Amino acid sequence: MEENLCQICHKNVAVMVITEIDEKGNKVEIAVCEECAKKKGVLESDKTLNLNEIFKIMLKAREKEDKELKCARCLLSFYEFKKYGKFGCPDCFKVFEERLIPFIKRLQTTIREREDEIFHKGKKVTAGTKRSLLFSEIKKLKIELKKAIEEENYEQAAKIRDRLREKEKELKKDEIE
Amino acid sequence: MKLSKNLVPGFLREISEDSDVCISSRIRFARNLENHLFLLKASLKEQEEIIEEVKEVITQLNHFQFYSDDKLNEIFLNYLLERYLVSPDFVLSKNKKGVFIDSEEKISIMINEEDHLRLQVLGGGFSLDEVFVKINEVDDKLEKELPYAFSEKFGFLTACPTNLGTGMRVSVMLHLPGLILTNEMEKVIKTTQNIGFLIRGIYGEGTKTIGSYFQIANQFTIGMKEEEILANTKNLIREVINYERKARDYLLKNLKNEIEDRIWRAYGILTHAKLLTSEEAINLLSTLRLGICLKIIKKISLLTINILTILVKRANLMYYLKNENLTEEERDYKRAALIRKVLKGKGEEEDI
Ligand SMILES: [Zn+2]
Ligand SMILES: [Zn+2]
Repeated sequence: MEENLCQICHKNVAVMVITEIDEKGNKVEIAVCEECAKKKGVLESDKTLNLNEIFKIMLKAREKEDKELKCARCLLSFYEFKKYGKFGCPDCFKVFEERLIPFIKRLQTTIREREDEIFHKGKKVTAGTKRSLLFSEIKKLKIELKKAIEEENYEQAAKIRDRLREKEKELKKDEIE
Repeated sequence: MKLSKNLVPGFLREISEDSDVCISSRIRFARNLENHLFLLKASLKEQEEIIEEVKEVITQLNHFQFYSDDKLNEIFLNYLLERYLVSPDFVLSKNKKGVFIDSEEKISIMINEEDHLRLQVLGGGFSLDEVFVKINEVDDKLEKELPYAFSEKFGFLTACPTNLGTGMRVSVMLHLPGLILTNEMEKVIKTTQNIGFLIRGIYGEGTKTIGSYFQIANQFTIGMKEEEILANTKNLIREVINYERKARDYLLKNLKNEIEDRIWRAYGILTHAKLLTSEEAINLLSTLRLGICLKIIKKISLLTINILTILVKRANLMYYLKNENLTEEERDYKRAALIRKVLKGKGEEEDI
């Protein structure tokens, strides 16, 4: 999301907050650019609203968006990520990717270097990691399978067995390669 | 009295040509496992599983001593912290945690600190190249057995975005009394921060530092190869080492009497005081260290200072004395006695 865009034209940077009546008849505050404010006929009088007010509203809009962006695996939202400054699991990076790229650039460079996007250039994991990952997934599925059978949850057990076969196939393929 | 050098971790026993300024070198890698939630989200049960999985692999690889919750009481955790083998966050963490330490006390692998794994290798003096080779050896071995969380774009996936990419933090511990005494330190701190590096006092909090010991480390971890981060950090450290040496030369040339007075006063207190807090002891030993480097003090070695600087710390002192129940005053008394015993008679007669 771009910083503080006008909520009417979505093109220019918002410079003030105006009060509008929405379709349900409620008063709502929206941030607008100078051009749209002129069109609305609210120029000078409302401009006295201080900047803090605008940012408060922008933050609220962003907060809503951040809370909705959520990692399905660990349930961390982007809002929580910003609050704690920490990720919840390896999947967070895929879910948050778009938002992360500018965030990391700001965090991981000095001001004068901030032109290019920055990505990993260092060491990479080898095939060994992929294999050990498969191993540990298989191990986990076997435990789940045993549990499902013990609980006589046969439908679940069948599903797990399918996944287990898939993983074992993958592992074999990997070994042949 | 002569102290056994086995009393301190291996990296503090190694004295090299840069040991006059650079006490030790350290590199750490942050790593996480793909098959587990990070610590923000992992349940205590999952944290235990992580420890078990890692333990299985590490015990096959190297001869490490493993300590987990049942052994990690408050004093032992602080003992390890004072020896730089675990981090302050590890000590404070409420996670199920464990740490592997090699017999030389140069390698430690913390489990469930901020990340699933924190590998660190330490070396004496300015030895980052050797440390880098060694940590990669350990990392490569572990990588073959553990499913590291990794992405092509973001590199090694870490709990905190400040460690993304390489997950690598390169740091050294420097002794910079010359820059402090010549009032150049503030300038060094500002410049270091402006070019994207971290610098902080080793002891004490905020701006109040004890003993003129500082740590310099890279701030950025992504967008560069490990070798680049290493080279950039090394260049900066080399500059700071040279700057400190220049400051010491200046002091010897222009303020010889004042500096000698300061050093002999430190020696006087250390060899006669009956009560010493750890803070005061570290401060005075720091001044003595400067005296050795300036060849004003001749019969005390840097190794002795390294050993004493560890032994005077609260938990290490109690471990050394094999008494974990000493009160603060008892500790101050025994600390002073230990220092007196070690340093006595090692001053140099001055020409009249
Ligand atoms: Zn507009
Ligand atoms: Zn997640």
